[in-house]
Amino acid sequence: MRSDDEKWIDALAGHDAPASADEARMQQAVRKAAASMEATQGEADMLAERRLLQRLEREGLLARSRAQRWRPLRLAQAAVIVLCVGLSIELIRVEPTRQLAQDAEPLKPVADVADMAAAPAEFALPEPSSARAMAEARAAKQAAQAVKAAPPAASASAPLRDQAAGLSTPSQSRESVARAAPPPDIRVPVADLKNAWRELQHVLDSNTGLTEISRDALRDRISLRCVVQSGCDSLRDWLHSLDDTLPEPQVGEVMHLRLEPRS
Amino acid sequence: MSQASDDDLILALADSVQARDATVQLHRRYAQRFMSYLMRRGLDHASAEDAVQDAFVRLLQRAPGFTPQGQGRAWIWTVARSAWLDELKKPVLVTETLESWHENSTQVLADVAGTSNYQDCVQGQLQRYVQAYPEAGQAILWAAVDGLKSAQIAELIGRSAGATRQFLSQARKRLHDYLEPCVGLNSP
Repeated sequence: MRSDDEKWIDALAGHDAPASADEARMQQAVRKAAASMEATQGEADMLAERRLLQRLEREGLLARSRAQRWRPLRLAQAAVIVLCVGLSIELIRVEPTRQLAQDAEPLKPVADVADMAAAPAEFALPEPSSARAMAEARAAKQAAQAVKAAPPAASASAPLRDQAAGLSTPSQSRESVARAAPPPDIRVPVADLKNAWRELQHVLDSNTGLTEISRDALRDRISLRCVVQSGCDSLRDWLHSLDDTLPEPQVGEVMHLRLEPRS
Repeated sequence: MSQASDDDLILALADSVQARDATVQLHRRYAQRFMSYLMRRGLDHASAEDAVQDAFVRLLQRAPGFTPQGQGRAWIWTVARSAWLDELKKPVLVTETLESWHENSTQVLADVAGTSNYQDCVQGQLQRYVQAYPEAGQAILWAAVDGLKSAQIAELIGRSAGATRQFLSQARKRLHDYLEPCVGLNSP
């Protein structure tokens, strides 16, 4: 059995009818005043809210927010991106390496086949456009193969990069490069440079088994490789027509020829 | 979820996917009220904020055991109070002594003459009442704002059945004393 006071409270809570009109008026005014008192004061306390969420997360009562949940994955993604960018920079740095290697001419590492393949077009000799296109395609293909098959290229160029970055002394770099230096160029004595280049180009154009890897027209230097015996034979014939003491090309071997006018 | 009932939000607290949003919603609904209640009981702002956090920790812990029966508000206050009773270790929530109710009634009349509006008068007097008697005031607020029944309030204040009857009787009489000066005033 409820007391009058309990009934009064229940009426104030809206579960019972008020006992009289005066009571009803008073209870309505109290409800309105109470609601006004308890109304949320202004903006939610965001700081308190954040502190609460952090505590609940700490105590394991709330899962981490979506952003926090994905944080490890985002870090992994960032790491992959950084890795890729770093790798790209490594590959791009081969270009300055080539420049340095040219400056230090005798120490130029032969491993920079890719660079040689990517030599600026203005250094190339004038040649028929179709032949040039073929040569470029062959060079690109060979460069790709060479890069794939010769990972030491990067390590050989590392000292030069370090030198460029000021990480080692020039003498250290020279020693490092000297250790990785390729065999010297084969000097090919020719009567007339222009004719010799023309003849060599003809040999290249007429033999699919002979590929040009790179050409440095300024220094009359060319890197070649015969991929089949017939290509080696053609190149040998041409070389021996100039000087029969010149070495014979071997299948798959890269030859670095430097054309020099006979003195 | 912005229109969700308290029952829905409590159920969502037990769902790991929805718990965060439900916590935020409930915090926005109740944190200020908890703070006001605790500060009326004598806690400073920082202690009250810690106590509010304790209450929410307890709400999340107890949520899986909640059965929705449309009494979410009473449940929230019950759980919060139990957290404060356990955690505060202070006589903050000690029940008011009935002796303190027999104060000089002239104090009740203070400042009433300053208004001629019934609602303003009730508002001012209710604030004074709640300040003077936090526990009785909270009982009135639970009924008037949260719609809690006398039985639920009795459970919340943690008194015996007999003591609760006496408490509610005194609370009502005292409120009438406070509102009596407003009776002759006109509504706007």
